[in-house]
This record gives sequence, C-alpha cells and structure tokens, in this order.
Amino acid sequence: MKIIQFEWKKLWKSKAFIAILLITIALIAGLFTRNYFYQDIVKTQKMEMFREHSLNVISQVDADRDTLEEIGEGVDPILEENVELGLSLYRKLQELRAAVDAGEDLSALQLENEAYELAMQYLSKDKRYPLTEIEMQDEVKLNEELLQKELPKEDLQASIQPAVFMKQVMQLLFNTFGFFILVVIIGTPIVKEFDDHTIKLTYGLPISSHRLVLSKWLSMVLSGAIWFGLVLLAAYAVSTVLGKDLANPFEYPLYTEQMTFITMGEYVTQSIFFGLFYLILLMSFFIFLSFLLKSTLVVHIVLLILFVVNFIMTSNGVIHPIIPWSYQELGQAVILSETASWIGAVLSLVLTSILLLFAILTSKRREYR
Amino acid sequence: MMKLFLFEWKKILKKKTTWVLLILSLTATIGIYFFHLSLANNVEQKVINHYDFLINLSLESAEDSRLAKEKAIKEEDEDLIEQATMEEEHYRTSVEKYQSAKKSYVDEEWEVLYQRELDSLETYAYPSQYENAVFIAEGGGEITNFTLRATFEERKYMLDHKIDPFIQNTIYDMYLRTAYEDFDSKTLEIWEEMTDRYGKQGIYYIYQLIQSLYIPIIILLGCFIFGNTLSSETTKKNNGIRFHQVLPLNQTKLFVAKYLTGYLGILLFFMLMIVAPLIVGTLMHGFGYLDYPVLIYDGYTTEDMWKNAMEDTFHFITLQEYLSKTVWFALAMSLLIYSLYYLVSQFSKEPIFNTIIIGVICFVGMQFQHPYNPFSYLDIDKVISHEIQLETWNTDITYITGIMIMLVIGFIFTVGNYIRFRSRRTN
Repeated sequence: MKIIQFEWKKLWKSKAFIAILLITIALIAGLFTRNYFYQDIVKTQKMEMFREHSLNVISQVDADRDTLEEIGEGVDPILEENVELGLSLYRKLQELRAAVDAGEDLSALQLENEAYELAMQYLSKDKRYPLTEIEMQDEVKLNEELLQKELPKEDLQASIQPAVFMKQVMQLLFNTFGFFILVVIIGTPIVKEFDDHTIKLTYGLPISSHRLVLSKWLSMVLSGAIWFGLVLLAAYAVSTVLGKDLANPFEYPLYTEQMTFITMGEYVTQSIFFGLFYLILLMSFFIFLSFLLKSTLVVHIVLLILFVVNFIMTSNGVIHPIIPWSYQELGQAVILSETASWIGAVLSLVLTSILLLFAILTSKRREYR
Repeated sequence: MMKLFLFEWKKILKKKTTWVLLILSLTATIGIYFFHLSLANNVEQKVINHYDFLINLSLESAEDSRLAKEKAIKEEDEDLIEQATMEEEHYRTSVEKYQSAKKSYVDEEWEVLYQRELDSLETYAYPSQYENAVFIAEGGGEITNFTLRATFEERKYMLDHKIDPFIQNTIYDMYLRTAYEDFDSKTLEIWEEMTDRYGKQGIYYIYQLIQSLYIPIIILLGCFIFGNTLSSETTKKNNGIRFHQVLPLNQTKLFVAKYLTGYLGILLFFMLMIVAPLIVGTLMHGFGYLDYPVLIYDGYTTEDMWKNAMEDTFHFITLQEYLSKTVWFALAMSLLIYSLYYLVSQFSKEPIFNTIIIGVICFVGMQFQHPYNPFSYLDIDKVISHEIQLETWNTDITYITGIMIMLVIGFIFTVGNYIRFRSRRTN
C-alpha cells in the first residue's frame, strides 16, 4: 500500500496529470456550453433541411403540372397520380416544418415518418427525393422506436440530453487519442525512472520484483480509473443538472453496426465495463514495455506506433468484440453488436496476467552496475 | 560554426535510441504498406468473386432455360420453344461477356475495361438536353453529374495515356470520389466501399499516404526524434548547455547549429520515410505511373451545390506535378511545425508531451479554416486539389498563400526561439 501511495505522489507531483484532469473537465464543460447554444441551430438546420426537401418536391410537381397542362387532363392518369402524391408529400413536409418550429417533438416524429412513407412511394414512381430509400427506412425505424419510448429525437453531435451527451463525451475522449495521452501522462513518471537510473535505488530496498511491478501497475490502473470516472461523472453531472429534464433519458435507442437497437443505458454500462478492462490491459502493457525497453523515448515511440497501427486496423474493419485491443476505439467496439462479449473481457484479463508475468520476469534482469 | 554543427550531429548519431527509433519508424511504415497491400488484394479477390458469382448465376439460368426448351420441344409448344431459346441465348452471351471481362481484369488488360466504362458513362456524363440524366448507384444514392463527368474524363485520360488504375471494389464503373456527393449513413457506407481506392504500386501508395495526412504526421514524428537538440541539454538532470556557455563560443552560432541540426534531421527523416515505402512498393508491384491524373477542382460557380454539380468545372494535373507541389509545401510545413515544436520544447522538456501538445494544436487549428490560419493548410491534398475551397466556400485558401503563411509564421517562431534562447542565458 505504501508503495502505491509513493507512486501516486510521484504522479501528482508531475503536474501533467492534474493538468489533464483539469483540461478534461474544462473540455466537457466547454462541449456542454457549445451544445447548449447549438440547440437553436439544430432546430433551424432541421427546418432548413425539410424546406430543401419540399422545394425539391414542389419543383418536380410543377414540372409535372406543366406537362399535364400541355397534354390536357384525363390523358395520362399516372402523371395525375404523381402530381397528387407529390402535393400530399409537400403538404406533409409543410406540416412537419410547422411541428418542428413549434417544438412539438413527438408529433414531429410521427409526421416525419408519414412524410418518409410518402417520399418512398414517390421514389418508387421514378421521382426524386434528396434521401435514399435505405436512409429513410433507417430513420423511420429509429423514429418508431423513439415514439414508443416517448423520447424526442436528438442530434447525436449536439445534444444536452444526459444520455446522448454522455455518449458524445465518451466518443470524444475514450478513443485512440484519449487513451494514448492518458497512458503517456500516467506512465511517464514510471518509465522515466529507468532513464534517470533512480529505479536502481529501489533495487537496494527489500522489495520483491513482483511487488514492485504489481504496485506500479495498480497505481497506474487507479490513476487511469480516476480519470475515467471523472469524465463519466462530469458528463453525467453537468448534463443532468443543466440539461434536458426527461423521465427516461437512458432509454434512448442507438443503432448498432448490425442495425439493431441498444439503449443508451446499455451502451454506457458496456462502455464503462469494457473501458475499465481495457485500462487494466493498457496499463499492464505499458509496465511490460517499460521494464522490457527501459528507455522513455523508445517506449513512447513503440506505443505511438502501435496505437497508430491499431487505429488504422480498426478503421479498416479489423475490429471485433473479442479482440482485447479493439477497445482502443471504445465506442466503436461496444456498438458492434447488441450483446456484450464476455470472451473479450476474459481475454483482456488473461492477456493482462501474461503481460504482468513477463514484466515481473524482465524486471528480475536488474543489471546491478 | 561547422564544427559545432558536426558535433551536434555526432551526438545524435552516437545515441543508440536515435537508431532504434529510426528502425522502428521504418518498420512501421513498411508494415502499414503490407497491411494496405493485403486490403488491396482482398478487394481484388472480391471483384473476381463477384465476376464468378455472376458467371455461375448466368450459367445456371442458361441451364434452366435449356431444360425448359427441351420440355417445350417435347410438348411441341412453339411459343415456349422460341422464348426459351431466346432466354438461353441471352444468358449464354452474358456468360461470355462476364468471362471476357473477368479475363481482362485478371490479365490487367485495362484498355478493354476502360473502353467499356467509357461507353456506359458517356450518355450520363454529358446528357443531351432532353434526357433524364439521373444516375443511381448501388444503395440508392444519386451520383452527381460532376462525379460522372470527372470519372469519364479521368477514364478517357487514362485510356489515352495507358495508365493502370487503383484497385476498387466494383465490377462496374470505377467512380472517382469527389466532394459533390452528399450521402448519409448506410448509403454513404456503400458509396465509400465502392469508391475507396487502393494503390499497390510504389508511387500510387505514396499518393494515398499524402491524402491521409501522412506528411504532417511524419514531420511531427521527426520532431519527436530530432527536435530535442536544445531541450535535451537543459533539463535538471542533464544541463549540458551550461558547459557550452563557459566556452568561448558565439551563442548565436551555437543556437543556429543546434536549430539547423534538428531541422536537417527532420528533412532527412522525412525523405527516408517517403523513400522506404516507395522502394518497397516498387519492388512488390512496380513504380506506377507519374502521369496519373489528379483531379483539381476549379472552384464553385454559384452558392447552390445542386447547380454547382452540373456547372462546376475541373481539370487534371499529372501525379508528377502534384508530387513536386507537395514537396515544396512539405518544406514550408516542416519549418512551421518544427519551429513551433522547438519553441514548446524550450519550456516543456518531455518530448512526448511536446509532441502531444503540437498534435493537439494542429488538430484544433485544422478545425478553424481560414486563409490566414497556417493550420488550415495541413491537409496538403485538399489544398492542392482545391477541395478545401469547396468545403469552406472560400477561394482565398490557395497553394501560394499557404506556403507564404507557413513560411512567415515559421520564421516568426524561429525568431521567437532565438529570443527565448538568448534570454535563458542571462538568468
């Protein structure tokens, strides 16, 4: 226990860790403020989008009407049908805009679905609409799910709804970039001991290698968990106190890669769970690298390269819930499928133990010189 | 001066970590090439599988028609016989068509495939006034006329100059992805899968690296390895700079020697990191074609993207010209990033922290695109192809302005570095 406290002391004295904690809080607060002021913009953007859609439809209706006038009524029933359909779609879009403008979220959802149904019919008549059928079907499905839970639709990139905001924060911080900065800042005081040769001082103390390695690892895990918890706590606190007041925000549905739904609540709990497992693994990997390479610069560059390579791999589809290092892109890995992968968690633990074991073995190679 | 300079180099070269870092970086970039290569081979295999699938499907249908014909002959139904014969004929020709296309693909007879694509694209790219020119891709996305035109012209140019293409996951038209498409969610995914390009050849791979921000990343990595000539000697544990100060040395010369050493190191590193994947790519799949056409947007004509897709123009430059432009740009950019790194390193001594700080500054800087913001220009590909002008609706962001801004700011930071260095001496 004393050793952990001592490791912590070194870390807190480095200032960088405190800086990252403060910056994180500032970032979350800043993001929330941005989202808060973005609410009106989101609304205008939505209205603008539907205005464009209705302009698109009405221009086609006008063209059809002109043709109809030329050939006379009753000659081409299909054309008349199209005009009729286009007009009802146009009217529906106008209603929808009015509902969005009035802030009637739930009726807007209903109207949006009805509009898309009409638009899909319109598309099937060889007409144009700015959205494709696939896009609209996905949107309709989401809207239905939302209607069932009586939740208003949120912009995933600018929301003050607690659950959605938490997801945005997690996406922003729990990724390649965030984890890399975290491990580097927490780990540098530890790996630096090899450069400064102060690690040799501990060789003179009656501490066994496994105690040395494990306590260093544990202190890193705890520090990482502090940051991790702080992010979640700050995001939750700020959005619950100042954000939208809803009865069941964590019921908000979210598409997985396989186009099924999970709720935000499931998403967040899974992220916490796998995020912690990933932190445990990451820290043990760092400890292993430090004891193996014994040089700050080399450890950093190896880590940087591995992070970049893993990032390239995950963005090119080499990502799977059972691969422990896939959780470097936490949000992406969690959203892969509906159910969490227990194998992934177990494999993380196995890999962690192996890495720690190797770290202990390499730390026995002490070079007393 | 020369002696100081050489001494600085000696210190860098004698450090074992320098070599370890160099070897690691090289291994990584070559490893990424092989990963890229496996992706490309994977896509190639998918295309061939798609051909096989279509061939088999047509063969089965032909067989079914043949059976239907035999049955009809037995029943002596003239109409059915005629229909089944025609169907069989139709499926047999499509089998032949797919087989010959597959053969061309496998044997890399691109001229044949280009010609076929050009025939199918022409009416869509340049529709006559009364034709309906809407072109729907897989997934339902509506491909803009701009993309169709650009793809058509690109293909024509490549046919004329006999240039091999990038690998693309489609057996139909190999679209050139442009900035004019505006897809969402699933449709976007399908579109991207169809238009993602993979270059196996050496120079093609370098071109793709440039598109994915490789150059700023390499410069930053170079700073991490070589940019600590001053900061590594001013830490609490190692304050070697003090030793220089008691020697009869001109402090300005000392600074210049240290500063230039780092800069030269970065330039050499940069060259190495470009040449190494180039050589590996060339050894694996040939050098590629230097007259490959690179799309340059001519800017926007109106404020309406729908209209622009019909009216905006474009032209092509050769890959060679593109690369020479990139080199000049990279030189200016390296000065900017290096001077900033060096300045930060005079205050914070941990190389990785400095790298992160610069990385964050660059990333945040890139979010605010403005002609006078030097970080708007970090995505070289978008600057040279003018894509950035379409994104920001601002034609002031140009190649020349970019170089100027980067050089000026880089120079200011350099002076800042010097001032900071001189002020350190007195305390």
